[in-house]
Amino acid sequence: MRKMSIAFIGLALVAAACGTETAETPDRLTLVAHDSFADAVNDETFADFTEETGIEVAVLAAGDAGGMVTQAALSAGNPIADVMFGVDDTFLSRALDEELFTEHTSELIESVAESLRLGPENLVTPISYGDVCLNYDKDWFATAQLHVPTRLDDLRVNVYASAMVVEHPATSSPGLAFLLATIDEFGEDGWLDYWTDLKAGGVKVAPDWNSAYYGDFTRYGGDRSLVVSYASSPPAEVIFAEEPTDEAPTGVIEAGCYRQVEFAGVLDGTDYPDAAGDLIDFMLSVEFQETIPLNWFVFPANGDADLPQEFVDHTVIPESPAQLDPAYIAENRESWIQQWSDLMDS
Amino acid sequence: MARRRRFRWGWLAVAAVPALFLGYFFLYPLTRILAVGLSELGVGASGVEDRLFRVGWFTFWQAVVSTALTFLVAAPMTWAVGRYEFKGRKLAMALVTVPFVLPTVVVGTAFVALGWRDSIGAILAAHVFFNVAVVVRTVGSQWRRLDPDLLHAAASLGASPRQVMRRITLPLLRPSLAAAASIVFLFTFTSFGVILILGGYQFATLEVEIYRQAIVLFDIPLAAVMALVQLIGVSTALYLYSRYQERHSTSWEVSSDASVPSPTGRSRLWVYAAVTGTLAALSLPLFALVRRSMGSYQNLFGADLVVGDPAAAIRNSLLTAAVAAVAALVVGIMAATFVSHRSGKLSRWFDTTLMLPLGTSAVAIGLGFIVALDWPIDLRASLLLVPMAHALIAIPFVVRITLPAMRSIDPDLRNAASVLGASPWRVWRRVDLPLVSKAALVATGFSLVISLGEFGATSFVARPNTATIPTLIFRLLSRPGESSFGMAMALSVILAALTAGIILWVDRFRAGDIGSF
Amino acid sequence: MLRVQDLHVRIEDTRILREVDLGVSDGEIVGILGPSGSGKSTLLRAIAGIIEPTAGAIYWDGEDITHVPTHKRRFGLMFQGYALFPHLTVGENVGFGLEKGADGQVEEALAWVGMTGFAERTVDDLSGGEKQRVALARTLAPRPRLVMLDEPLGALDRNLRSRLVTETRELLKDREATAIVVTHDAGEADAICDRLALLREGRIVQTGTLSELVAAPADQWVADFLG
Repeated sequence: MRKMSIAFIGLALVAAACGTETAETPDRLTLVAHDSFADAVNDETFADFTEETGIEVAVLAAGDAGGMVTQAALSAGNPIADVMFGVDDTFLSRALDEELFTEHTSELIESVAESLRLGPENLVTPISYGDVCLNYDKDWFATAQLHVPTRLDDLRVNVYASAMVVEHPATSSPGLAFLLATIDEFGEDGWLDYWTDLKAGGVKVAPDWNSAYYGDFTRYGGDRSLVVSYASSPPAEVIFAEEPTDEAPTGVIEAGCYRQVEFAGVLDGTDYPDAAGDLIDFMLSVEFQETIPLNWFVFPANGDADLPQEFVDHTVIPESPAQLDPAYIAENRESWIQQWSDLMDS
Repeated sequence: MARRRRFRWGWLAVAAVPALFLGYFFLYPLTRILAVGLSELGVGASGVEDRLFRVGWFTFWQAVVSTALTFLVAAPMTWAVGRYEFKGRKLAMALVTVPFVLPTVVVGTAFVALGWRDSIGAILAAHVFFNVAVVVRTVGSQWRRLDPDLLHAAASLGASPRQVMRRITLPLLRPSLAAAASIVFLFTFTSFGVILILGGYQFATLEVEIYRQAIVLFDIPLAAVMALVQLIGVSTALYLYSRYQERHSTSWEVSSDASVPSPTGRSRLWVYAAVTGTLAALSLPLFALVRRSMGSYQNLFGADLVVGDPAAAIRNSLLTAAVAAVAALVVGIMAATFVSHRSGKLSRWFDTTLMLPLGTSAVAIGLGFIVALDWPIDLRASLLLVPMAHALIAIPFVVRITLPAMRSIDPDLRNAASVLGASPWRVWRRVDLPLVSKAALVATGFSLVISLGEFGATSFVARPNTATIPTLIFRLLSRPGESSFGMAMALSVILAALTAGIILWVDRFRAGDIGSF
Repeated sequence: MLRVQDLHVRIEDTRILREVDLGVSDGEIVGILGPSGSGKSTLLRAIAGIIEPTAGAIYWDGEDITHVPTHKRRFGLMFQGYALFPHLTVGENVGFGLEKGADGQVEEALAWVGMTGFAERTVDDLSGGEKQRVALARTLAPRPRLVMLDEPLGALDRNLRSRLVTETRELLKDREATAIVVTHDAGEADAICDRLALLREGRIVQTGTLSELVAAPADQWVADFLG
């Protein structure tokens, strides 16, 4: 027993010693991200960064974006990683309130469009954005000889509302984004009326994206031809088609899109703030940014990055998507979700 | 009695390993996160008690109904495998186990594809689907160990088959019925993924509500209160279970299943009807999976994909499972050794406490890891964390499987070894261990498959992004495109096949169906 | 009276019993004697309806009961390992084959075997001899048409056996029971039974009283077996 405890203390001391060492360049940086980012990271993802700096990048998956921010909040000041990526505008205020980040202003920030720069630039850096949009099944609309709706208001009509599936905003990030789009469109006084109409028209609510898309969408055997998904879904349908195809089977409705911006920041308490800042700069560099669409199906924040051909051909980037101020979202999110649930769940 | 006292310190050491493991990876993180939450607890917002009561009540009754339905559905097959030896029995036992270890997201998707969702019916059906194996395996194996002459004796005294069932078989099966019921209850009481995917928000269980409060609304204090309520519910259930087992001692298991007969005549028909009927019902959702996976296997291993390498994911999954199995086996066997050598309250409580992780909020434990496990060394982002979380879930099964084998060892074998001059350690190593090695193999298999399919409990643990089969399935499922969906189904089928293979393999060693799972 | 006619039992590919013919008259105690593995227990189980015969028939008072289920035969069988129900008390065990509330009959049956006052005890607490008596009481309590005892004294020590041999015979004779007693011990069989049937590899090779068998063994094997 005694031998064991001595070994244990020894280990702890070694660990502590390693922990307090603050070399300028570490061997390794840790990046914490939500699962959908982390799961698609491969050996290539940060290879260039490692080659340039000699620093390896370890990636931690921390659940969904909300789970990641909660975990970071619970370990504020003694973080489990050096850099966090994947805080979106709906969670940004929460992360800032908890003072999770330490200062770093990216040297490439000027190449990011003004509309994406929603947070304090000395703390968080926009890396990517994605538009949550209604998708429609082209075949279904052709067969039904219906016009594709062009405005959110069109959906109040039974024929569209009853053909539509949305995700629950409490359990699904695109669901929340679409709710925010309707709030942006109809304002605080109008959005509940709008949803009352959708409900009366027969809109369906799915708990998450994959049961809506793979369960309810007509393209996958469901009975709904309008689904809340992403602007990047049609190119994904082409890239991941079973039979090679030139035309996407689904399309994007430009009205009612909501733009989610994802940010990276250096976690407060890291031993290597400078190297961590370099990693964020790397993520905003053109070479990394151009790998974003095909790996994560979101769009690069850096305006100098080119899109892959499939994205150019098969998607629309809405010109004026809805966006709300993160602080405004943070203040009201809970009550919006509650009001929405009270209306739709009953 | 004197012997027992002499070895007391040794036994404490044996108990210490499982106690420390459970303490460090379960009780300590759980206490820390509850403390964090409860210390910040303000005056309760109005309406909270109402919701808490509503959610708590729903959680409770759906778990009770799910458990009852599971027993109902499992009954025919349990009867068939418990009462008879027949061709294909082991294959049937392996197949019935597959649903138990499939990741929730896969089953959820299969159910959604069948159009079963948005209703309490879909939730209950999914709970039954997942847990039938628990009843069939736990109760079925004890049934096989019942002395058939007890049933014959009852018949010769004039009891009709129905009376034999009611007056002899069911009372004798009580220990395993109670064990199966408590496991199914714990699983369904803490149900999360099934509820979210199939029920949506209107059917919130405590676990869903804990997730909502902690992750969506950032209300850690309220989440902690709910986790505490859940813990109290689970502890009460386990307390009742433990009391029940106390009153109905399990000492009457004697026969090995060498005497289990083959079915003849009409019973043969019933046996095959029960088995094929159950398997057919269970494979309905699985069939949707298999059908949709056709043609996607080449894509999975052929094309250059951005999803990550499925072969690597399978390797990683197996590696994680191996580490989890080793941990679960070491801890579980030491716990079982302690429990089997020491009768009395303490060891029974020990046994019961080991089941607690099955019924504790995965969200709370995951967040507890973050708060607590930076001491004495920072394990929070360690590769070990996920296998250790899996081990926590596998340990109760290891104990259930190895304990009966240990209890059945004739104490005189140990005494004989001691008389020959063997130290207690040597007795354990040379007598106990070889005799339970078969049970240990079975336990290894189960730990492996539990870890392979585990998804829910670890999605709240920050972990290195080594892709495993379930995470890869999840990733494929969260991306549009026909081939993504097809590949997700294909990978699910591979996982199911892997599971069935492992169970078939360990069932070969299951001489006499030792172990109660 | 019982008549077993040309009975065959095959389990999987092993022939356990062949061409067994056996009659037991009312009030008669017949002993089945044979080495272990000769099929004695199987014969009792077939008569009790626990094992389905492959061929042949079983008659009771001329009625073919070959396919009557066990619980409707009203035959009592005392198992070799006693098969006492571990979750029931002694009294509940003995009363199992009786109508509910027949406490008087339970006490009576316990009195037959000298176990008065044991009704509340649990089965686990009994000694070997006590278990034997309880099993016997349980078998006799419902007053079966035919009593079958499978190695009733098998697991007991010598002194106890010699005492119980007499007791068992008296008990059966007092009730005027028709009975079959299986044993591997010739002396014991002779002491309990009126007549013996010798079973070897699934066939009945000879019947008669012990003295008849010893005096005129059918073949060398019978002579060797009886010593």
